[in-house]
Amino acid sequence: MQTIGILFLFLTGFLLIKRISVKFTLTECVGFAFPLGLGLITFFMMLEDWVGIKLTPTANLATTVLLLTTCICLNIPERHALLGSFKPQWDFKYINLVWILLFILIAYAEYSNFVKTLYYPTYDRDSMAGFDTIGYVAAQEHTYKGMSIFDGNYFPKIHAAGSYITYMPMVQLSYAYIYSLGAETSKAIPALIYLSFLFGFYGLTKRATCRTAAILATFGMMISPEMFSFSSLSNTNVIHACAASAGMIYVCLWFKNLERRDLLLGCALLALNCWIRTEGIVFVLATLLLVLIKERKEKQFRQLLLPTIAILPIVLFTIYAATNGLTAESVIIAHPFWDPVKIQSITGGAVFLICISHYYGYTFLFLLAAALGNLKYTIKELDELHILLVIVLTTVLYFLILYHINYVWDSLDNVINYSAKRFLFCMVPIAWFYIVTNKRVRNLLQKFENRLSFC
Amino acid sequence: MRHTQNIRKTFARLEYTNKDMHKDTDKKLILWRFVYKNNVFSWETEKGKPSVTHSTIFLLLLRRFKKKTMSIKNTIKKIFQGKLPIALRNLAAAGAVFLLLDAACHLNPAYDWVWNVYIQANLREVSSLPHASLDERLTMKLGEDYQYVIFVRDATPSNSVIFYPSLADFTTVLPGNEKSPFSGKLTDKLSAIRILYPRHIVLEDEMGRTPWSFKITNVAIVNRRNVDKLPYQVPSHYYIGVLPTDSTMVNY
Repeated sequence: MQTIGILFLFLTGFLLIKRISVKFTLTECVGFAFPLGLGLITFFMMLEDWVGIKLTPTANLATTVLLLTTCICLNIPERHALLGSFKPQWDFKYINLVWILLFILIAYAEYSNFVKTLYYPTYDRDSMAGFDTIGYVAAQEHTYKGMSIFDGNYFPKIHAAGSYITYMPMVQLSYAYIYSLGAETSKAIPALIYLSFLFGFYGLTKRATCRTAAILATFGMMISPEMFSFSSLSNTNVIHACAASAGMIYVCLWFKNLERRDLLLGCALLALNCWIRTEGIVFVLATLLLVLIKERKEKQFRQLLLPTIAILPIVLFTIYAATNGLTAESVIIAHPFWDPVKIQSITGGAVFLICISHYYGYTFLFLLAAALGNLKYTIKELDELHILLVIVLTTVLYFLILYHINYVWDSLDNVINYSAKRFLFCMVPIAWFYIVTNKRVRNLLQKFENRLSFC
Repeated sequence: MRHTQNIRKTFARLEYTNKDMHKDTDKKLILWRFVYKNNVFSWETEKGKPSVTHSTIFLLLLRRFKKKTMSIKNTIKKIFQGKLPIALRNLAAAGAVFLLLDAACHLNPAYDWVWNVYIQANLREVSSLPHASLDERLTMKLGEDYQYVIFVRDATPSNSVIFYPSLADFTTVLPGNEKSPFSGKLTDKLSAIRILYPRHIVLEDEMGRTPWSFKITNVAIVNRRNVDKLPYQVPSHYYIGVLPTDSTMVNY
C-alpha cells in the first residue's frame, strides 16, 4: 500500500512539473516530483481534516488517486508535447573519468545514507518528541486537529510556548500518511526526499554550468557533514532545506534567464518550503525582492503575485490552527526593540557557525573564495550577484527571526549552540550552486570538461 | 578492396579502402570516404587507428553532421587524433580529484567522520545485522531506556493509564553510588507515547491537574522510584518494573 501511495504521489508531482513546462529535464522532474506530490497530499489532508473528513487509509488513498487523476487531466491538452519530452536525448559528450568518479562516490555515499535511514526507526529526540509521534498518533486516530495529544486535559504542556502544536504540519501529516498506509516507520519520507533532492540539485545545476561542475557541486553539497548526517533523521530541517534552496535556486535561474517556468516551479517549491517550516517566509521575502528588482523597469508588478501566493500555506494553516484551538503561547516579539547582549550573542553565534568547518565542511570557505575570485565579473557584469544577495539577505533575516524570539522554553545559548546550526542548511545548496555557476569557475570547469571529453 | 557501412537506412555511408604502404614509413594506410547528401569527405589513416568499430565512426560522423554542432573536419580530426592522451589526461585528473578528496578528509575531521564513520561504519553496522527486528534496531540506538519502555508496553494492557517516571527517576544514583543503567533519553512525554500508544501516560507534574491523573492503572518503577505511588507495600528487592495500582492483580 505504501509503495502504491509513494508511486502515485511521485507521478502526481511529476505530471505537475510537466504541466508547468515540458521543458524541465528528467533529472529535475525526478528530483522534485515526490516532494511536490507529498506537499499536495498533506495540504489536502489538512483541508479534509478541517471540514471533518477522517484521515483514514481509504480517504488518503482516494485523495491521492483524485490528485493524480486531476494532474493527468491537466496534462491531456499538452499530451503530445508531454510524450515528446520523454524521448531520450543521449549526449555523452561530457562523460569523463572525473564525472564517473564523483558519480560513483555520490552513489556509494547515498546508498549508505539511504540504507541507514531506512534501517533505523526514528530515534532522535526532536522527532520522537514531536514530528514522528504526532504523525503516528494522527494516523491511529484519523485526525490531526482532534488528536488526544493536542488535548490540554491529557497533555497540559501542549499549549506552552515553543510547543510542536504550532509547527507547520507538512512533515507530521506526511508521516501520518505513510503510517496510515501501513508503514512500520516514517523513515521512507526523509530518505526519499533527500535522494530526490540529489537528482533535482544536479538537474538544476547542470542547467547553469557544465555537467562535471554540476556533479562536483552535488558531491560537495551532499557531504556537507552536519546536513548529511541530519538527512537520515526524521526532523524537518533537511526536508525544509531541500525545498527552500531548490525554490530559491529556481528563482535565481529565472532572474538570469527570464524563463517563466523557473519562476513558477520556484514559487511552487517556496510554497512547499513555507508549508514545512514557518521561517521559510524569509525565502519568499528574498524572492519578492528579486522580482521587484527585475520588474522595476517594466513595471510588471503582477509577477509579485506568484511569490506572494507561496505564503498561502502559512496563512491557511494559521486560520486552521486558530479555528481548531491548535494554539500555544506566542514566542514572537512583534515590536522593535534593542538588546545589545542578545545581538552580540546571535552575531557571535552566526559568525562561529559560518567560520567553523565542522558543520558545513568547506562550503562557506569555497563560497568566499568563489566570490573573491569572481569579484571582477561581479563588479563589471553583476555576474550572479543576485545569488550572493539571496545568501546574505536570507541569512540576515534568519538571525533577525532568532533575535525576535522570546526564549522562554530554552536558553538563547542552547538555541545557538544546538539548533541554529540547522538553520543554515538551506544556504548550503545555494552556496554550492554559486560556487560552480559564477563566471570564473564556470569557464574554468567548462575548459576542464572540454579537455577531458572523449568526443 | 572496398567495404560499405550503410546503417539505419540513411542516405549516408562510410567507405574504407586498404591503400598501398606509405613509401617512406612502410605503414599500411586506409583511405576513408564519408558520403552524406552529396557531400563527400575523404581522409587517410594508419591501419588499426582508431580502435573503435566502423559503425561507431559512422554514427559519430552522422550525428555531428546532422546537428551541425561541429564542423565535419573537426569531428574527423577529433575521432582520429587518438584516444590515448585523452585517456591519460582523464586518469590524471581523476587521480588528482581523488587525492584532493582524500586530503580534505585528512585535513578536516568532519569530512573524515562523514566518510569513515557515517558512511562506511554505518554500512558495516547495518550489514552485520540485516534482519534485526524493529525493537532490536531501536535498542541499538536508545539502549536500556528503550528496553525498559518496551517491557512496560508488553507488561500492560493497551487501555492502561501509566504513571511514567521523570528524568530524575531515570538518572537517580542507586544505593551504593551505583550508576543508573538509564540515560534518560525517553523521559519526554511524547517520546513515551510513541512507544506506549494507545496506553495513556501521566507525568509527576500532572498529578491532580488532569482528569487522567485520577485514572492511573499502572505505575512504572525505575531505580525503585515511585513505589510510594502504589497503595500497597512493594518488596525491597523490586527496583525496575511496572506494577498495577490494583493489588489483586500484582504478579511479581
